[in-house]
Amino acid sequence: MSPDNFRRVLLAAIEEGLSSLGNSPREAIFYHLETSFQIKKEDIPLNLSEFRDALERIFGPGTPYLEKIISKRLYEKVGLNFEDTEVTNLVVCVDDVKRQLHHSGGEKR
Amino acid sequence: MNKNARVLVVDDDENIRKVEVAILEDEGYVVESVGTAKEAIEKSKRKFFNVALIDIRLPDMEGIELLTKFKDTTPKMRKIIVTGYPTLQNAVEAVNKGADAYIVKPFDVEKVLNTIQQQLSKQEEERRFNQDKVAQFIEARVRELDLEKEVPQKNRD
Repeated sequence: MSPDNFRRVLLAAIEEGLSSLGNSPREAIFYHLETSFQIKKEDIPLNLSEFRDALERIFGPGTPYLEKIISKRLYEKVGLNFEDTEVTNLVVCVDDVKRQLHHSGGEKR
Repeated sequence: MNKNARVLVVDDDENIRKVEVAILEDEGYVVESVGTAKEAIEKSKRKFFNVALIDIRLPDMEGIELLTKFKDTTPKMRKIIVTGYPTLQNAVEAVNKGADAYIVKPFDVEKVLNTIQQQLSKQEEERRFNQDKVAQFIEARVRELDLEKEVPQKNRD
């Protein structure tokens, strides 16, 4: 999978994950990421740590819930198996997906 | 009308289960059915159901006790108690244990469908209300964070 395609898939997983809160909360998050954290929606895949930090600052202990949903969606989208662990770190999961895709030579399925 | 809503039928009488499933599927609902409380708990842990129709008498647990279990595992699912033995005591207990509605057997199909629809509407209202609350929380939290950023700046000034 090309880096551009991966970024598109990751952004779609993020959108779907945030949609679990509802459409208006999702849009509120994107709006405030851009205005208060200077992270544009389309740039999130390139600023994943900053995105995660912003989520953590907004949601505090609720953040792992969102990280888990986003990560799960990402694994599903590329055809990989998501292992549910107690603590899910989005950045670690995205790195893991990239690594697995690299080893398998691209998109699974 | 939410035609994709998922309904769980919990009744130990297979014939009643079949009839309920047929009626609800005809209306476009996605329906699954089980005969025991244990199966109901397991199924509801694995899948989301918008509504559960729960017979008050189940072989392994009273339907009212199942309400308490559902309250812990699936608080958002709307729970409708179904009984062939309506008493005031049953009704009060069901409501106290978290039932959202109460239906009496033999079924008046139109009433059952109306009750389900009412519960789905309430669920949708709740969902919108919760979404608004989350959006408001995000708004307030970001303002707080913005203010936190401003304070050190002002202190320097």
